[in-house]
Amino acid sequence: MTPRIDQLAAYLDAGGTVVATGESESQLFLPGISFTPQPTNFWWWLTPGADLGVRIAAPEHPLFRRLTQRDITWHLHGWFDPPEGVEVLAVNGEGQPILYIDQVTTRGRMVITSLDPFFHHGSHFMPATTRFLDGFLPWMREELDR
Amino acid sequence: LLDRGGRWFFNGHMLRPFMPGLGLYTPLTKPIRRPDFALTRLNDHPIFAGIDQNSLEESRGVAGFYGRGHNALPEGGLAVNGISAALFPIDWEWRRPAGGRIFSHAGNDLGGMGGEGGIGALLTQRVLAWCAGEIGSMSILVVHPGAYYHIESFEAAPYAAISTGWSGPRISAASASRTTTWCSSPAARRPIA
Repeated sequence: MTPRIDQLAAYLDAGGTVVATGESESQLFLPGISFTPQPTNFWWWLTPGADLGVRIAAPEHPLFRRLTQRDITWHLHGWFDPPEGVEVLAVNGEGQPILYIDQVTTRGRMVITSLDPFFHHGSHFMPATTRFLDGFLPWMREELDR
Repeated sequence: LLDRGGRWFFNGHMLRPFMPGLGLYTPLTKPIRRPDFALTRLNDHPIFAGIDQNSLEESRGVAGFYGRGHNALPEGGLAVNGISAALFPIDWEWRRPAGGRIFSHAGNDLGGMGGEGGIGALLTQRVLAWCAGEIGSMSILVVHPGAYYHIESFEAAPYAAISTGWSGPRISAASASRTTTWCSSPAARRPIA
């Protein structure tokens, strides 16, 4: 992606939307992103009553008419230190952003998350990720059609 | 590479079949239950020699990592391992009529199964050895002076069909005068990046 930085910047400046998910190292090719990876506990759910700690940070956001906390909870891969003025939608157990929308850094919109729904949905493995995409993609489509 | 007798270990879901004879990945039908993850050795294969297939069904007591579906078995392919009671061919080897072999594992990284220091490491070594033609082959090394007599012998009837897949690159007229070494899968012997 890094050879395409200028193209992405031009697209954003023209009002475009870029969605960057998972461990895609978005800080390398999109502006204003500060990411801290964290070790992933793939087995947390084997402990009865365990709580990964993911929380919805903006329950009034239209996305969460389609998604519940359960639908954004599978793994943690890291958190962001986003610029002032972004909309933080979800945080980890320490309250650090893991899903946010940045409409301040560029004239466009960046939907940034360390959640990796596409990987797991495509692997036919993780029902929560399918539920996430069932909610997220129609929401994104609706936003873009407005 | 395959036409020249090379080998391709394909680890993943076949969503864009890249040559004639290959078909699409089919996931297990939902809802998936524990018995659907049962693995069964259907035919012996050097990659899996001495490995109990059932031992690969679970990781930390959780089933489903090995794979959750299968890539279509090509006509003439050999099913090695089956998944679920229906024995869908999750692992298979296909010796292409046009030359070369493809092994398909329709799941997670095979080398990551059974613990990276244990069976997984062994599987990784076996996969590399298989790609290099060191196992699972009737590896034939024919050293000859490259005369057209030899080309006739390897590439014309009646032996062309037999030599397909192991005889090595089709030699051109220009190189026919040079001494040529033929081996089972020259392309696959290059270092793997």
